[in-house]
Amino acid sequence: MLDNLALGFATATTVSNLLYCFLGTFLGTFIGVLPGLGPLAAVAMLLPVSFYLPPETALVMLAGVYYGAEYGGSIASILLNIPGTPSSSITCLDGYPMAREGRAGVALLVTALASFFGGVFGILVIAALAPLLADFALLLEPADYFAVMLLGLVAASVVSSSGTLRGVMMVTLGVLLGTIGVDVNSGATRFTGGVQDLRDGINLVVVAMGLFGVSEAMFSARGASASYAMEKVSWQRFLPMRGEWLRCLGPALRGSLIGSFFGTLPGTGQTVASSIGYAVEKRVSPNRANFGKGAIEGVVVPESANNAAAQTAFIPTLTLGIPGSTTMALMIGALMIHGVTPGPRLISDHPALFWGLIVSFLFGNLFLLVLNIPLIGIWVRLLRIPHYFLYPTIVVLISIGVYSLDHSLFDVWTMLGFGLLGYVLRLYRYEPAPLLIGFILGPMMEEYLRRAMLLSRGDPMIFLQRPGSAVMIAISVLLLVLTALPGLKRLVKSIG
Amino acid sequence: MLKKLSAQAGTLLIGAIALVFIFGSLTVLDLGTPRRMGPGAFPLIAGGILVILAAVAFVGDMKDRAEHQKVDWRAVVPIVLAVGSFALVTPRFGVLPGAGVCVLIASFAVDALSPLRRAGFVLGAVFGVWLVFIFGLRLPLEAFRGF
Repeated sequence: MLDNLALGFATATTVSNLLYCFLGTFLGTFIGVLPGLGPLAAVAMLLPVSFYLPPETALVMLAGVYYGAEYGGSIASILLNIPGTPSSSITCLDGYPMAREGRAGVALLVTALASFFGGVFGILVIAALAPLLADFALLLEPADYFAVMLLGLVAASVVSSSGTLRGVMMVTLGVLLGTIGVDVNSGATRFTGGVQDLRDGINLVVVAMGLFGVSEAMFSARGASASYAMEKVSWQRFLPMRGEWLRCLGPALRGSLIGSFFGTLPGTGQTVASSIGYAVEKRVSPNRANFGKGAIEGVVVPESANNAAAQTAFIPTLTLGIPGSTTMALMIGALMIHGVTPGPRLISDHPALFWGLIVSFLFGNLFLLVLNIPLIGIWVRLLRIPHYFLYPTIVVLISIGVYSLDHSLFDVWTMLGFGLLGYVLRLYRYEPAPLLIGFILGPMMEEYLRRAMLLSRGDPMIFLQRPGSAVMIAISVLLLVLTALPGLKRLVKSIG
Repeated sequence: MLKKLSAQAGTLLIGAIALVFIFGSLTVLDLGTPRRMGPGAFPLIAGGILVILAAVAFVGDMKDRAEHQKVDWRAVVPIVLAVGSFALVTPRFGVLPGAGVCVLIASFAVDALSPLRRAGFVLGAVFGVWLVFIFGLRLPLEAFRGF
């Protein structure tokens, strides 16, 4: 372990890696502060920048963008009551009331400290667990992999804000779109309509930028006529009161534990972690009566949970090749662009990349802590920039980003197509995020399904005979039934 | 009835996409056997599941008289034209003219921009694109072409 950490330190502390880590956390926070633009948009926008960097540096930078954006989302939550990211919406509940009481400085400081605490906790978990999971993953067979991916897809569906049924539909649509291109087993071309550019399938970045960048601009540009007016942040009471320091410790620990757990579950991510952390704390806290009215614990728990989950989401991503969230799906895309295949062999095949990335998390979280306290004034000013500059800028940035992938105008047109698809889906209450997870996992699922069926000589019972896959499938079915039951009852009642 | 159906356009679109994949799997691709699944088997299974789910969502939404949001053409049209014009202008005149036209058209998707402000914004954005992508990142993009 010590040798690995030493290798990680040697990789993470090179001048270029430190510089790009700093740049990533800074730009991530910058984008995360802007309401509506979360880590997914931040990573998608900056992905093309990473193409020309060595794989370690690219990953270090993108990871910095990711958790920087997660942190930035909390700033807008506290100052404006507008969550920069879905996972920071829980922070609004107590962060904004604190700001209204003139304690914005305290809330922001506590956010920075809780995020750092949760982040470091998550790093320790990932350093301890990821190698074990990678060793364990080597024992898994195709049927187990298929079942893990099925669980990931189901988990992504049931936490979808548009409901389980619509979530499953989006995931399945993503799986279908992932089949476009040449079938690797038979060499047959599928669903390309004779278009040569589609033979290699649709680029993940093109899909992501269309679904999230273009459709977001179409959705939000019209209302973005002005900046968010806000009162001046009072810095007079910057530090928490004496008794509050001690009160924060328990919630920070509980939040980090809950966040670390949910981060490792494929398909769940930070939003689930911060909301469950908040719900648990509301039950166990002696100060529960003040929750929702500006309780400091109500800021500490979601922030520590959120950041711990942001780190541990890398565990399934790196060791199994299964994204823990949509942003992690993009990180898988980034790894593949650099010729690195995520999975059980990543740690043994690319130790410098893996351990360098883990150690860079530590520096990234430190940058976040040291940078963001003095920079809060800048973020506040950033929110005053008129938003009508924002969306046209996003449109041009993503157009150039997609074009620079392969100098392909076909990609730009495809991105526009996905932008329109994402827009229509959102009009009809279909959240496009699970589609991206299905798009990533679909081809892998198909591969493992076909391999498992070949090994079992066509007997589908293989998925229930292996204990690992049987348990995963049982959990998936249970999750689906539990979440879909109320809706099904309503449907049956309305038909009857 | 037509109004009721138009309220289900999203679900119908998803169902239609699934049907295209099912049709393609059945008519063009080999389905293989359970032991050796062909390239058409997996899309057929996924497409079948999606059609069933779309039917359930359709029935549920018809019963609930589910609401949907209206298309905001004033935002959608400029953004579609902006991306389209980037794709048309860039190969002929280079990235910077493409970016300029793109920002100019996209800026019509937002309100409250005076002509002077719009011109300043376009120039600023083009300078920003040059600074970040061409000067800063040194991406192999052609700034101007045909001049």
